[in-house]
Amino acid sequence: MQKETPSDTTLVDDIRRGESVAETAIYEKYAARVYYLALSELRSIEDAEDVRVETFLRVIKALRNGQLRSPEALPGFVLGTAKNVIRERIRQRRKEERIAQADNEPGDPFFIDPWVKQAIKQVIRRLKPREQAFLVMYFYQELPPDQIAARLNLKPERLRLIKSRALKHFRELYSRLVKN
Amino acid sequence: MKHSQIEDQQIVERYIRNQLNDDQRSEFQAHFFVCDECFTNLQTMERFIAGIRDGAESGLMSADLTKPGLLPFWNRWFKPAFAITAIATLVLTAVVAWLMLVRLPDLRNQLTLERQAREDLEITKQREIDELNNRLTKREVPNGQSESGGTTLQSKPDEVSEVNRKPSPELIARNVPIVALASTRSGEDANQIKLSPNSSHFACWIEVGPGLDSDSFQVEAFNESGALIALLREIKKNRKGAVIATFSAQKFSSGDYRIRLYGLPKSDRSLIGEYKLHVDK
Repeated sequence: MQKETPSDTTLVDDIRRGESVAETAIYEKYAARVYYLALSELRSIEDAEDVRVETFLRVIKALRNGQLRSPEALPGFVLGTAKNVIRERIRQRRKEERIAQADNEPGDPFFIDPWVKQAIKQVIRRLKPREQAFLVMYFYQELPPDQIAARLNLKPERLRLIKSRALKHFRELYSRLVKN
Repeated sequence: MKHSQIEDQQIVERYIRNQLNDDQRSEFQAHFFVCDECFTNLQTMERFIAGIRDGAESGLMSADLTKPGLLPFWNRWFKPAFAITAIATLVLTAVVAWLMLVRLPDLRNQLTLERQAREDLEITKQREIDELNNRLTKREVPNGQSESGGTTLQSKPDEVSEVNRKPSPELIARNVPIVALASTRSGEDANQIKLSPNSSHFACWIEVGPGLDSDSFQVEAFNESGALIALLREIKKNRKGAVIATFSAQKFSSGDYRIRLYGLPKSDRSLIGEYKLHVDK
């Protein structure tokens, strides 16, 4: 059974009282989001992990000190803190001139895992050459849809259908692979 | 930011592809920080796009059609055009085959049957005419002499003699006008016959039925003033139980006539019926 997450008000109150269980709970609740945000902005697994750690250190410290006046504002507070940490990291990286290199990276290796590769393989296998070409042109070459439609002789609504069908298939396959 | 807005505007995909402005971006970030469903969708979309990009880069996906102008002309117009032509050809072939193999033989059979029926009808008509002519030929007697001797003409003996003459060649010809005489009540229209100027004779068809005890029949024609203008005697019933009386058309002008039919038993004659006849010339 899935463990029920306490409300943000409870978590904030518990942290103020110094309960470490509440600190773990707040980390579990928002860590994935902070990590995703950092990874999508910085495109570096190490930097994303650093941002995650640094963000929660600051959030928990602030909560212990009672700096958050309204517990309902906790998600926004976590987001704001994460963004600040990300900005600091970007500034630091600019100094190190690493950001340009990261921007030139063509793929998104951070979100690729073996299950993604396997699921995508199976999705591709089901697609017709023209449908595959559409996905490549749309997500990889990032061409505008009307240009793709004209080039492949497909209607724009057909393109949207291909995309949503492929995504649905991918979602099913991926969740099945992860569960197994 | 609402879910419907996120779905309709494809916010998740646009967020990943950096197509949102700063406000939209911040708004969506605030949303997925509290919304589990949107965060799950965001991660799935991120993985999907990353997977597609990875597949494209590693050559897993077909990139043959991604270059401009590489879509085969077969796909653009030739294939559909060919398909339409092929379907039209198939339909046409099927129609022609159906006409040749089914419809045409049917029509031929129908034509043969109709032709056969028409020939049968003509043969039947010819037989009746032949029968009529034979009877007229048999009745050939000397001028002015009564065959039965029982009836004496009171007026116009020259007209009576016309009856006993040998039938003219015209009568033997096929198209003798004929009228079926039926009894009429007072006030009812008379039986009518239209005679063309070329008609030399016409025939009256009188149904007598099987119940009468008469060997032969006598038919008399009277004009409007009641004068006897034609007399036919010793007429036999045909196979269909009818008496056919053939008159010379010359004696009949346009007008009303009365036709009387008598049965001729061995003893004396008896009136069987009287018929109104209107002749139109």
